[in-house]
Amino acid sequence: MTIAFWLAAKGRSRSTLTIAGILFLMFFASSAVSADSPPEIKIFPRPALTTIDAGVYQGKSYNVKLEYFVVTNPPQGEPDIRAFIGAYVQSELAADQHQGYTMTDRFFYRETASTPRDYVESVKGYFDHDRIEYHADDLLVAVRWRRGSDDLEYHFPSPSQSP
Amino acid sequence: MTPGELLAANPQFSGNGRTPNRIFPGEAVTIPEETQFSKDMDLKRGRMKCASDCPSMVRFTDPSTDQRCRWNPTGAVPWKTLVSGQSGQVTAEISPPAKFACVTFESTAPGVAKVSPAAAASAVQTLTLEALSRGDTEVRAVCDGNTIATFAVKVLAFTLPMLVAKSRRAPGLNADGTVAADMLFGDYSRRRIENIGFPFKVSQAVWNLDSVKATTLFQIFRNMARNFSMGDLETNILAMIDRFEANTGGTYSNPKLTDAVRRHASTGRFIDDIRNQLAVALNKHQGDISKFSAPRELRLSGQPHFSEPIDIITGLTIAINDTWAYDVVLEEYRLVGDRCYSGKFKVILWDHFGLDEPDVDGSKPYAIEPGFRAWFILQHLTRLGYKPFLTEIVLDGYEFHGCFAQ
Repeated sequence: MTIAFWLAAKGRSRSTLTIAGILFLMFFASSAVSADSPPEIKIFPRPALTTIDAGVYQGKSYNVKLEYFVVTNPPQGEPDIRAFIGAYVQSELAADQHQGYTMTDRFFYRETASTPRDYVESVKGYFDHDRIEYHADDLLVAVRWRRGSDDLEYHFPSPSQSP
Repeated sequence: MTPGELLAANPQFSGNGRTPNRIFPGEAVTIPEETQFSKDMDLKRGRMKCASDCPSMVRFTDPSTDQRCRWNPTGAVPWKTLVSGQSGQVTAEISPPAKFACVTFESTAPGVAKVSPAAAASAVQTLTLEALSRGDTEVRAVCDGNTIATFAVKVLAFTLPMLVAKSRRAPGLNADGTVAADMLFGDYSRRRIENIGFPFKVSQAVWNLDSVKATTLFQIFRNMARNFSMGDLETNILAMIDRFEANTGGTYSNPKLTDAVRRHASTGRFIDDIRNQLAVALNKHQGDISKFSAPRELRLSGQPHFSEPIDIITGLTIAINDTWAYDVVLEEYRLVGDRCYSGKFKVILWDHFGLDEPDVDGSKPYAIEPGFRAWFILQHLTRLGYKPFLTEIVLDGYEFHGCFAQ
């Protein structure tokens, strides 16, 4: 764009100005399209973090699954997050029931520099161990499902309370 | 009427130590053998005359002083929650007061909760409820066979201490149950150690892993540890190294280390998160912790960590570089009134006092520090094989309280 206008200014010819005008319009048209298109929301499961815990508790057996996800361009505001993430979790429930879990906890993190979409726990030396639990300030929402209940339990954390 | 005639007319009477100047239907009394009765004592009055003397209303109230804990201020049928093995009180206000004499109290399920006394001795009668087992019952105020008022009682049963949250990983183990790499020992040959990277090749050149003495490596380890600690936490890390040198494995704890962890802001935020999640869980289950279905009822997303620059300087990080695992244990739990609770919990944190290869490989900061290499060699070289151990920090006495919504 800048080059086209520079040429136009330099040469001052009609054809150059026409080209510059077309490029100018194309630039604004593409800007308008990109402004109207919401960024794509994607959920990236982090299967290496999945934990399954089973045993007996207060005389009853339990089988709990913890799963972790990174969400790119997450919706803003609790209602939209609840709708989007809730629909995703609902789509997984049939498998949960089939596999006999008594409870599932799914933790959804917003994509950040410290929780990228390909996040893995790492050790960067003795003084720098990285765990997903150390990024509670990036937690978008945690969703719990219990066997026997149709309701999902949402937990929206307060970033200031992150350990 | 003689005592003998009295008992013959009222076979339900048995001893309770009370001199019977008035006897009410269903009441158990002791009749002293030489008791003299005056003419105005109508001993059989209750059963025959209470129908017309029954009070119009008995109002049960919980004598809890905290108004927030009153479950039902609107006056609907009240109820009380008790914990098995504990007792509670309820007040019965009889109206009109003059007619208290005909009112008796009973529990519909005395195996769940017993009520005493069995009969009103005054117009405002305090009843003691003794919770015996899990279940529901009703305390009834009865007159002449008719129920005047009821008071529902719910008895909860659970065992304390109760694990209410735990980390993804158990102490000493990976999430999949295998032994954590930094808890292994004596598992590296000299060649394998040399292949870790350049710093270890230097170590081999300087120390000769086939012959270097453990005391030499411990000295290097201690010198390094002093550089990353001060004050009480320097004393602590040196004690930890002593423990490592003793080669006993097991679990280590130190009050100074525990104090430092307790004071840390990250711990404070973790404790706040536990209190918040307890409130969420108790609200969901209306205070009934026996409904907690797994040791993950508290949905904790974070855990304390101590890797700020100041932690590295003071000696907290070298002692606990990673909170590997934690448990949150409910130690005390009480129901206050009908809608409130209080209790105490403790947190147990664990870390591994041991190294694995990612802690020390040549690409990492501090890899050049010979103290870490000395530590790694002491732990992993087959010839030495000093046992790592668990560092345990028990943070107890955290109180919590609140009320759950209806």
